[in-house]
Amino acid sequence: MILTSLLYIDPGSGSILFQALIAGLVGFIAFIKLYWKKIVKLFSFKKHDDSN
Amino acid sequence: MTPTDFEPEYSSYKDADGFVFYENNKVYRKINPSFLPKYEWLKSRGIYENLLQQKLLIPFTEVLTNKGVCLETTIVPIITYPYEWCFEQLKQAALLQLQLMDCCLKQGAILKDATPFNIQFYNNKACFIDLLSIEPYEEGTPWNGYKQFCEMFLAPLILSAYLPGNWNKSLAVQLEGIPLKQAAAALPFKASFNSLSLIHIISHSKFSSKGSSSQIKKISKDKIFSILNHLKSGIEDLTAFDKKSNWTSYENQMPYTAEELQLKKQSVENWLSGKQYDTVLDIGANHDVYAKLFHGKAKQVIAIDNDSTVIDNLCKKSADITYSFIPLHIDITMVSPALGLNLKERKSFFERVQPDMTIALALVHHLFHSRNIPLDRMAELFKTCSKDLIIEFISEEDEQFQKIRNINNHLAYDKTSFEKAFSLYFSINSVVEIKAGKRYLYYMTLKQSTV
Repeated sequence: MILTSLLYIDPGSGSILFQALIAGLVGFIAFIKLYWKKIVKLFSFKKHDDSN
Repeated sequence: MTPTDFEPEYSSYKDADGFVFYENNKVYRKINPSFLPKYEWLKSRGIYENLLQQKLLIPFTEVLTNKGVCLETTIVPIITYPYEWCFEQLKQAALLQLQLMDCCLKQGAILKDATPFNIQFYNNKACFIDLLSIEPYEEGTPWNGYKQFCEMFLAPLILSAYLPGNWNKSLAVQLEGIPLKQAAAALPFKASFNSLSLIHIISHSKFSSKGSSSQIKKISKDKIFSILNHLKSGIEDLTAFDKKSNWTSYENQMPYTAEELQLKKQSVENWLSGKQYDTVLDIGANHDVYAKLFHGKAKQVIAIDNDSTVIDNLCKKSADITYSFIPLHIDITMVSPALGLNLKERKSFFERVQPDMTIALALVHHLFHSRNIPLDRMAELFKTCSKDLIIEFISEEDEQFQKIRNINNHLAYDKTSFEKAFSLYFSINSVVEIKAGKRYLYYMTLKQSTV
């Protein structure tokens, strides 16, 4: 099957280049954010425990 | 409302793969021959089935008509546009778009565009309606809708998160989205400390007009997933800048005693008894107390208010409402006009919404004093809304009236003038005095001569 078709929106060539550049960076940020949330959750759980 | 004769949807002209048309009060999406192999491939991979199971896509059935293979789609009773949505609604739509992208990519498909006009609120939930936006994914293909997503979803959301006001409204004058350079220039400096705005708006704006197609490299699927995940987690954390307004606590400070409030609710209930409406328009809705009275009496209730924070709160509640309830950020004196190509691409509010009952409680005195609208013009406004009308008149003696009184407005304003102005178009069926000498509730019906 031929997948290539005419694009009916302008994706912006600069935007496509930009996607390639930021992909690694945003992946790293998402990774940090996920672990940061886990750490915050861990401490908030401990705090709840202490109050009991 | 859909036409009985064949009529193509005017706004459906951009996609070469098919178009929407109406026939015999049904909505169809014609698949052009060029897209048929792709459609069959997507169907064979179970992609549509999977998205339908997750309730992300509008339900549809494949039918063979005299126009070839078409998809008959479930009718969305009320079409709404992103410039009528509050912050929460655009946020829900953006998260749906990202979820769809994620689901599609995992199954070897992708969305070829990213516009909130492809999303509608159906059963109080955001639902994707443009079935032909989904196409097979070719490994290495970049996300072509990324820039469009940033301009049409992300820019208004981030601007509404960092600045006062509902920036979704700017999509009415910029139907193709807020240009990234414009969004980046409007954002305050502190937005640079949020990776969502720093990367996808501010830095992206420096690149959006640069580069040539020869520089385009292949982008792996994993990289697109990284971008999607970052956008998703950032958007989930966004909250509207405006969190409180003069009207967000109105429910707790209503100027009625418990008995008066009960009388007001009971009067509305009595008038609705034995009635069945298609669409009810609640103007200046504020909260859902009165909209709830229409449960079982109306197929859908549209609650409009000119306070975006109030609509945000209603939107958060609507997920728990068991009937079709659509809150919209609309000022009744400035409803959405016809817009776009030849003024036919985006229909006006009253072309899409034809209520058979309008309810306007504690609104007349605001229209009179805050907007200087004379009573006869006000009656003309309600005449265009619906056949049935429940409306409250608040007299000059009322404490709330005194608070908003505009001393420069010398137009006639009393119960007799109100009744005279509305009697021109409406028959007054019933009047109930809710608060002695101060507040009156009317049930009116449009006169046959004015229909």
